[in-house]
Amino acid sequence: MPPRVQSQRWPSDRAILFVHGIGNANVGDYNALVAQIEQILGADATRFAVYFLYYDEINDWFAAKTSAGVGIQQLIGAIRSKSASATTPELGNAIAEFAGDVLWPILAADARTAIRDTYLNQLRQIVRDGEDSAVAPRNQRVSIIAHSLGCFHTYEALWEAATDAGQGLSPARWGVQLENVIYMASPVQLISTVAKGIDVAIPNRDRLHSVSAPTLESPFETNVAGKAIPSARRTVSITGSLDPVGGHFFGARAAWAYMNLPAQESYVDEQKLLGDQPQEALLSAVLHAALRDDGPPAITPANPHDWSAYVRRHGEQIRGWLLS
Amino acid sequence: MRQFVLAVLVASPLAAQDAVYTIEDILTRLQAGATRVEFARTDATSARMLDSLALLLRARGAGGITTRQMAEVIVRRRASFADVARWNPEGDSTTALLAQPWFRDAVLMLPLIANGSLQPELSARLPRPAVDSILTPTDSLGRHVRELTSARVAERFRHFEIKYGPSAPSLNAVEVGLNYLGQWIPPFRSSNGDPSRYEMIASYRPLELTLARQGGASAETRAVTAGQLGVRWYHWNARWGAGNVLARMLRPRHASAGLYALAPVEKPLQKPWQNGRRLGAFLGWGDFHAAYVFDRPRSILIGTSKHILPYAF
Repeated sequence: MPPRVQSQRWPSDRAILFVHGIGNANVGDYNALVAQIEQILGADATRFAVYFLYYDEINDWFAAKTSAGVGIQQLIGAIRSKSASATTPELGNAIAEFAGDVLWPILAADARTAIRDTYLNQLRQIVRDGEDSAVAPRNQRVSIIAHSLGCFHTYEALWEAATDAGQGLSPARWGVQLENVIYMASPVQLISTVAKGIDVAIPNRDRLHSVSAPTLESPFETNVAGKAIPSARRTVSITGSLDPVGGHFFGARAAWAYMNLPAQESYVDEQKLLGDQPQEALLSAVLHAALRDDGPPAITPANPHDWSAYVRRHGEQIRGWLLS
Repeated sequence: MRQFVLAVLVASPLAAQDAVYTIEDILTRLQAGATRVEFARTDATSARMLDSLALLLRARGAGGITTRQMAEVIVRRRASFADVARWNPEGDSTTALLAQPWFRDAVLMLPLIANGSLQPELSARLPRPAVDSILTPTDSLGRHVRELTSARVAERFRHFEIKYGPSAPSLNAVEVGLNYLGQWIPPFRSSNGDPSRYEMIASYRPLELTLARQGGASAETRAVTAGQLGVRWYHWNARWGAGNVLARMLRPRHASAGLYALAPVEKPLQKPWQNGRRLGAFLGWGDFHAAYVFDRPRSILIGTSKHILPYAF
């Protein structure tokens, strides 16, 4: 069975797609996050059709097939050397293992294709649901809120949509232009940098947009006159000063790991870890917790990578973006 | 013109989705809309391109081609004669037209002009219902493209599940390495996003069973060690790997073949590839395989492809 695609009637002209990061996410796991968004939107929450992208099933297929983690030693080495100047060995190992779990699927072209197809299938269904609700694609206001590895899949899927006419989802040719794409704790630059360091090891490299292009850019398509039509009217990047997945190590930004798309609205939250333990040990524990693959994403405010905390800190802005 | 526009405006959006639109519908409405907003003054290039395409497509008799047929050409990237003959069983010049490489480029240009250039001008000058009416046939094309692509992706997912899903054979560490390298080697690499039906096998089988053995030695069944080096292929046909237990045994989802090496000492957990090994060939059908060792003493063996120790053997 292919991963389930959600379909629903739209209450108005707006929809939100949530794209999670690492960790199994099943129906119902995001109820707390939805409740948080509904609280932020207030009475306007009823105007939105809410969707979730589920792709962990595919990750599980490939992990079970190939024994996940085999062959990532060179990735871990590459990451360790990059992070060495900003971290202790213990934290460097934790970051490397974290990034390894994020990066190994890149080495399997079929895994990348399967996840990307899942994403684009869901986007097509969202557009179809809007059409069935009497809202033409050009009038649809769809927002994507992505977290962690979900940002990487979003970036790749939107570039594929913008560059492949057969997907039926590009902004200039098919009039499918998103209202907002909000990246939270995006590892896109981290993945791009490390993957470029081992690019000969990446199959079908040309089909990996974050690696094949010289620099990262927000997806777009040009019209007949050569004008660039962006895939999203607004692109936002939110991360934290202690979130290494978003490119920060103890308050310092690492250019090689921080996603900085031209024209993105950037937000870096000041973060503090709680507790008496050394900061490195705490952060290491945080990263290991973020790798949890047998449970839903927990709402843990002390975790600098926590999705819910980013949403809470930017509640008013999110409300403004979604309702604009 | 006013009566035409008014008649379209009262049609419901959902009814419009079920209507059959043609290239002529797209061209007529886009050109009418372009005239209404004086498109040639704001974007002369796109306006000229629209008129040129209209001339070309009408001159080639493409007016009657439906948006569904156009979408088929777009999604499949290159239509064969068999494809277009199926779309147009009467078989006339339309068949030849749909198969022309330039035709795909032309039909792709229409929505690019409509949505990428004309639509902003329309939306700036006309009320939304009028804009929607002008672009309804173009929207129909987009809808068909998305439907056909999703159907195609669903078929590809079925292949993914056959090869990688929960009931697919898992790979040991050596096979992971070989198949990782195979991503660059035809026929093991994927093609146009579709997974390859082939997979390399490099297995260690510690518990094979001898069925028959040449020579005067005792012919009792014994457990021996063997190694396999070969290729597995997956059956994409939906009838294979489906049905009851017997049906799945007769038509399994995968088969395999390759080189077989029997360890010199006929016992479990030996090293099959060392000196003194006896070589043969194996043929696998689903999770089971049979082998014939042609080095003397010749033997016939059977075994299972299931891993006894996950990711190892």
